[in-house]
Amino acid sequence: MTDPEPPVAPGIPLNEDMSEDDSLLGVPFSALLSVRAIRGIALLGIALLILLWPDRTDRVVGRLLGIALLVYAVAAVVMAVRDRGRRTFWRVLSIGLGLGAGAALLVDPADSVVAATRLTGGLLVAGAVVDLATAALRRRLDAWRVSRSGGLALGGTLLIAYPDALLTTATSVAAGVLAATGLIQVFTPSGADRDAERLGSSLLGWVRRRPDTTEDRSTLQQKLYFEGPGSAVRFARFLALMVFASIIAAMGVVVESTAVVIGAMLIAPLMVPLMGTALSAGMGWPRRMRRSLSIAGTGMTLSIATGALIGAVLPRTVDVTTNTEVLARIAPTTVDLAIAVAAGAAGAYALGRRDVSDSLPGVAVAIALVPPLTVVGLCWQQGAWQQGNGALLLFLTNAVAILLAGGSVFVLIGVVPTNRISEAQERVTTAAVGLLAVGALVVLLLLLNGSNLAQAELARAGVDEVLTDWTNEHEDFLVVGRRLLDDGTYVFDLAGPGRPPELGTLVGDLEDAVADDAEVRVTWVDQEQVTGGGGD
Amino acid sequence: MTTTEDPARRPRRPVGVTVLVVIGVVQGLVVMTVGVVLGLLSEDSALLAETTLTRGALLGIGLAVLGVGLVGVVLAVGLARGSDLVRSLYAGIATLEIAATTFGLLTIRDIRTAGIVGLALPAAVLWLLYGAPNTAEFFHR
Repeated sequence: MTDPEPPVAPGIPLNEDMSEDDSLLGVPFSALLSVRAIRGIALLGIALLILLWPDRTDRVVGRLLGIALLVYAVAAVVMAVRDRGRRTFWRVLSIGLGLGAGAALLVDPADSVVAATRLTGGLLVAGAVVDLATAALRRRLDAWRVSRSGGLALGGTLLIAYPDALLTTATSVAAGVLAATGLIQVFTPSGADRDAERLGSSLLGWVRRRPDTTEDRSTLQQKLYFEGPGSAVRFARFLALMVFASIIAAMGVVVESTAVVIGAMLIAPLMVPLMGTALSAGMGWPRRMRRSLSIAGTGMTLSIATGALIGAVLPRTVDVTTNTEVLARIAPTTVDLAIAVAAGAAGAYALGRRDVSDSLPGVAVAIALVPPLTVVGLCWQQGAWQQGNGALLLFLTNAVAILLAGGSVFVLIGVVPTNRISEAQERVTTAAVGLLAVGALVVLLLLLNGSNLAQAELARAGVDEVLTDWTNEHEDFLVVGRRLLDDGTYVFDLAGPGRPPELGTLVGDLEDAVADDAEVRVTWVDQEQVTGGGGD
Repeated sequence: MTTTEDPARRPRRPVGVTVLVVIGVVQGLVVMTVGVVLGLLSEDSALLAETTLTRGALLGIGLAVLGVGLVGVVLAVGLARGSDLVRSLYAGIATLEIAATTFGLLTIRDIRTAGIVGLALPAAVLWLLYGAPNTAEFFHR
């Protein structure tokens, strides 16, 4: 018996295979040998290398930068000697700085790059303070200047506090830009655009040439904004779905069922107003932006309230210290941000392009919005403020990622035309600066959270090692418990025959292991051993 | 025939340059004094025993230090008279100082706070020589 032929879509002849095409995704193979295509392939290769070895990239880039600075400094010295007119303050200062920084980057690129990043951060903070003080003295303090200075100060603080992480991020972003430029150069016909010969202008030129998807944008507007005669009904439906999704999510958290929580993610409509906000930011529509934000805010409040209500009325309590669905949402890190950015970009892409809109449910699952909010409600209802705030941070991370990544993708795929950005430059800039400032704040909180988690993990590993060593040395004793009291004191319970030896040393080692000023207390239980005789 | 410069047309010396001149002269005089003291101490046998230097060596060091101080004073006087060569020498020293401090700032972790201050001083010297008002007119006369 033979297998039946697989079903064939109507209209496609059975004997027709793909046509013999001497092209790669529409680009003739001969065009792949052009200078432009080879350059694109090289850029892709470099991007791949950077992404594979980001730490080595830092060193290589540091050394290359060092050589460039030294060459600049030497050339500037020669020119200054030959031409007296070139001996200006900034030029002579740049010679000194170039010589010193170039030599440092060449000798010790890894440390120098980090130190230079920190110094740049310090300069940004100082610049922000001076800018703000000058504006205040001249009485020219406005919202734009405050947000600019705030952004600079925040950026500078982040550079000072987390130079390594930000360098790696910047390197990865640069690799992404290189890869995108490489792809554009490979897959656009050679000689199509002479302006696009340079790296940056190539990418910008490609963005400018995106088709103006007016029709898609019109459909998208109808999807994202509650406008027109049916707006009240749509808003009511939004609220109803939010309540349903929140109830399902809260119940899923209570019974610790991931499947139920995923069901809630698929129902939740919160991504609609957030994507609406992202589109409004790009298009420079402040009223639509305000309305979308207020709808999102209403949904948030509703979800938190529903979570709290369910926590209050259910007879079963949620233990926020052991519930796996709660624990998975109260300690976000930058990894969650990376996931949210990718999912936000995918969401905007799926919304903006009708041919890939089937991916939206997957996006909704990847970028959970309602479950963290219900966890906030459940935790706050129990007075577990810290855990609730952690879940709120996860929600903010996801929301900010949707806004930033979504807005960027709307520009890249042509939903937001670049000429519209030029027309509404001030509004778009204000919205973008506001979003970036919130984004920077979220990143700062995530980095702090990640740092705290890493320190806690290190402390836990250190304590484990100390206790294991001690119990190996004193085989009669056991560690029967460990607790962290509300006042920050660590308590370790030991059990064994009589008073355990070397307690002072053990306490000292444990104090070193917890690595902060917390008090360490060790208690012991005197165990009496009764051995039964093997009598008759 | 000799020409004399009209004092009325001569550009006034910028205050910043005067400050640098005063600092240079004082610094040179202090160094010269140290050189003289070292020369006088070359007769001190207790010091010679303590430092394990010979009398000739200490006298040589004293003369060298005296020479350095003298050069400092001469350069400061040159700067006061508006010599562009001396200005270039001052700028060269400040530039090397900036380069060394920048190198230290980026590679040695412990000197960062002191390094920033150390960077500000030679930068200020450069500004007084090249950035402050009227310096170009004073040195290019």
